[in-house]
Amino acid sequence: MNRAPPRVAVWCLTHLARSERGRAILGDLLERFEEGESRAWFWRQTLAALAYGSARAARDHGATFAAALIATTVLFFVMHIVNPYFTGKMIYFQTHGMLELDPQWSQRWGWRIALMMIGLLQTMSWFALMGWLVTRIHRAQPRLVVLVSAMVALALHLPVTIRLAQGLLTHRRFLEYFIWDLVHLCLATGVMVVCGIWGSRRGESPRASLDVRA
Amino acid sequence: MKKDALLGQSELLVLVAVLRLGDEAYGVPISREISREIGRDVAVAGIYSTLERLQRMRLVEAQTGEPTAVRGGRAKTFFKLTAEGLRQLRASQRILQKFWGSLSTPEGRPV
Repeated sequence: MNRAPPRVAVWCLTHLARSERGRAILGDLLERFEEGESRAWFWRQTLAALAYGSARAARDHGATFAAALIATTVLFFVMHIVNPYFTGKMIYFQTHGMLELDPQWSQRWGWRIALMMIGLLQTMSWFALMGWLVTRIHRAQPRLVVLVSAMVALALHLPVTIRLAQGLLTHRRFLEYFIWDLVHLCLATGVMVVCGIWGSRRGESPRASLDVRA
Repeated sequence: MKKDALLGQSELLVLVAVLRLGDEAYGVPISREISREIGRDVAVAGIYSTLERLQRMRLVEAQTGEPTAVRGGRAKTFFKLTAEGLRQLRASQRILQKFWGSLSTPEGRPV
């Protein structure tokens, strides 16, 4: 029987709850897990700890926490206004320019993948910007705020995913779009979290701390 | 005269658990004690949140212990009631007992 605690849960608590209280909670959870609590129990406790941490962040630094979440929401909708403009250009290029360049382009995977990557890069850039920005706005608990912001972005995108899942029930051709949507989301959210952590590390630099003192 | 802060249910439960456990009052036994009494699992983070509130009210004080291997090298945080904490706990007990004592069933028996 594997008695190792869930790695992802331990990672979340180690990196998202770095206060003295967070360390004590993780120590307690590990101790009770060693005494026989289940992995499901560990996960429940971890999620509860993150929820309490978010509530505490909202209470102690409510203004910046709210500003960070508003920034995520605004950027998400700006992305949905700006992206279709470029997507429209891309579709025009696909249907006209590509045929001129290479009449057999739709048969070639290389071209199709390249165009898909451009779309992915677009979304990832926006999510990276969101991750970086929220940690600059809310510096008290940057890792926690980037996680909550990522959840907000996922929640905002949820209607699209649900529509694709509904389409999947009627037409199997939606499977490709559905899988691509999930891959898109996972990669974009991953980039957002990485950029958030990178942004928070930059915030801890000596120059930044001097700025805070000033 | 200084007014006592009204203690909530979670605060009362945590204070009683800390009092019962004495020198062994840290997160694990406190959460286990409360779970046993109320008959369901409690969030360890919730207990720390209550303890933090009680610390701000100066009803409990915390002390960091030694790190242990079973806790992944993390130290225990022990809690102890302050004199003010004990006084407020007793005051709450008196108020509650007085309230309950004034209740009776329709047949006139005490509840």
